[in-house]
Amino acid sequence: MSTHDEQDFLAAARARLEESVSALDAHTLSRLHSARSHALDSLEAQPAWHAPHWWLPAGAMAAAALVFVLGGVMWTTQPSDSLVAMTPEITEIVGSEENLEIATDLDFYRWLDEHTPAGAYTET
Amino acid sequence: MWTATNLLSSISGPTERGTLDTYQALDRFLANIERRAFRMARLATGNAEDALDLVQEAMLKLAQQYGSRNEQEWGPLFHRILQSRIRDWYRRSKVRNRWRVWLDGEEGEEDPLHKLADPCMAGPAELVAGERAMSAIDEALQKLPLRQQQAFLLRTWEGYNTAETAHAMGCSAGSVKTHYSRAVHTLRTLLEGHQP
Repeated sequence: MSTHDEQDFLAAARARLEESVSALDAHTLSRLHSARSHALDSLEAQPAWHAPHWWLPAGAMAAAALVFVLGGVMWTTQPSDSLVAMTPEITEIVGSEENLEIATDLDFYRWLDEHTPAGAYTET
Repeated sequence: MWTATNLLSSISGPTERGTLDTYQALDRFLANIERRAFRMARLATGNAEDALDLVQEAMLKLAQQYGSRNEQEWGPLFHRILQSRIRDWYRRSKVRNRWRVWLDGEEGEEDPLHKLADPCMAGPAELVAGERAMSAIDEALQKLPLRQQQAFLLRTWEGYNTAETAHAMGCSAGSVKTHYSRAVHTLRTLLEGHQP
């Protein structure tokens, strides 16, 4: 097929297709008009401000970065000593049920204070 | 129903004026493209009601999602939406037909109302000559595989170049060239003896 023949063929096909749209029936034209009006209504119903299209991926990236940074900080930070700082004495008291009872008995400490000679626990 | 006249009466500032411009531009664009879009969808689906639904969906999506875009972009965007909708319809109908054949053992029959003559159309004497050629090209186009049909119509009728057609069809430029070339070859063969 020569290029000239092909161009003629395509021009003729285009002309036939154009003719076909001018012969559309009234029902179809009415439906198309209605569809167009509906689409234009939806345009009017939209809010005036729209987020730019790049906001969604940018927001997702920012959220992912935030999670990454927070995760990194939590992973690398040592637990605070103040929460678990216990001297060996306290650990010993807490670990022993019997000693714990003594440690919480205020009468015992009062009795001990009254019967201990002054300066008995003074460090030398 | 909202019209440009209603919109004109409510103009109070630059934002509204911009909306009016967009409204009018989109109205012009859709009015210009709607008939060709319907014919394309009709050729692809073989069904006027489905074609109208597809065109309406494409119009709606264009207005809702791309109404604020540059007017020059609307054409390729509209066809991208429409061709995508047509492909979805095609897939759904293939599955539906398989089930129908499997369950009923036969193809569904056409609605007899579709066979009635449309009184709004021109009389038979005026249409005979054109109708033969028209029906020949319609039949030939409907015999094409969907992708070839889309490539042919977008390139020949809409006048899109290869890149624009590729964007509308959601495929590569190389695929468009292949589909288009095969479509032209097949149509020439099918329409031999009928000058379209």
